[in-house]
Amino acid sequence: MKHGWLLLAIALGLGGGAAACRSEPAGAGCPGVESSSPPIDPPVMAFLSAARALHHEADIREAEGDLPGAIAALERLVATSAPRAVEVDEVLADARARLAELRLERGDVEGAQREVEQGLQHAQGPTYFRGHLLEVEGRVEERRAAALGDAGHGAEAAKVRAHAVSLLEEAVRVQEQVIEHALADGGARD
Amino acid sequence: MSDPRRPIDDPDAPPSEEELAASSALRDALDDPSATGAEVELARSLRSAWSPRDLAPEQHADLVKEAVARRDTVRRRRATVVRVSFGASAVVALAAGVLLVVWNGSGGSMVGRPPSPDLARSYAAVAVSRSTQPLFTDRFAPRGGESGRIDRIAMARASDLRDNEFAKWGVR
Repeated sequence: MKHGWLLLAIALGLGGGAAACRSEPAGAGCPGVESSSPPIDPPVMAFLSAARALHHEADIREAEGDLPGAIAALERLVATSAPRAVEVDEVLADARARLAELRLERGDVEGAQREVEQGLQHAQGPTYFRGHLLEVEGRVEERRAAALGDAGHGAEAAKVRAHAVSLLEEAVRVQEQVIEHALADGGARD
Repeated sequence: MSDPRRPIDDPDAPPSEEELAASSALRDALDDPSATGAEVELARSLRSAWSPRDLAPEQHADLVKEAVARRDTVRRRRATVVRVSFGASAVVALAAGVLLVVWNGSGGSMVGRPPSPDLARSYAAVAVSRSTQPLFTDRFAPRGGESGRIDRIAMARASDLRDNEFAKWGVR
């Protein structure tokens, strides 16, 4: 009888431990669980295909001089429901950078700034995507400084110009980090 | 054909000397509890059915003793059965619990067991979500180039998806 209860306790303990392993999202300390990253699956691919089509549509609109049409195509892209994946974040960051440039071209400095800020939420690590967004933000600030100077706000314009320079410098630093990482990986390419 | 004049064939014929002696022996045997024999047992059974008597104290004691001994044996056997049942249940629970947890019914993936070489190869073949940074050797141009980038990303991941589908179907 004593042995029966002992074996039952062991069974429950083993079952509980294994269940905890399976529920661990990152698989830490659990044998056989290699990575928490989801595999490339049809939903990710569907999002990438939609993004590709909408970028090309924006190309056509832009070539026709239809900036609102190009912006509308990219707004559809960033509003598309997307699965959680690194690729999705990077594509959204790039789309936000393009939206910021288009808005800037139309003189919508505040709108461009908002796009950059949202894009940076999707690109937090040192990647070309983040570097590119910082570069665009620097240009947004440059444009803002020019507008302030034209409006006779010299002191404020100088401050914004300095901020633009610091953003562009940061962009360069990020690009350098990317290059350093690539060299550390032995130039490995996907 | 029977002869009614012969005493053995005539039920009303007076008993013979032989029959009288046998009858007397049977009567004596019935009075003697230690007497044995087929006819004695038959006569006792008939008498008990017709007019049962109390059991002899010794006979009663023997019966009680036998019943108690049988009860003890049954109790010991039942205790053994209960113990064995619990032990077996625990072992089955142990095995079932471990199997249920580690066995992924649909995919059949095993956790806590080293995968077979084929399975390990198929795991390695699965392309997971990751940064697209390695697809780009140079920094992005200050303006434009987004469509070229998404083209490259989509094509690379389409290839990954194909590999994953083939790995899932087990044709790699």
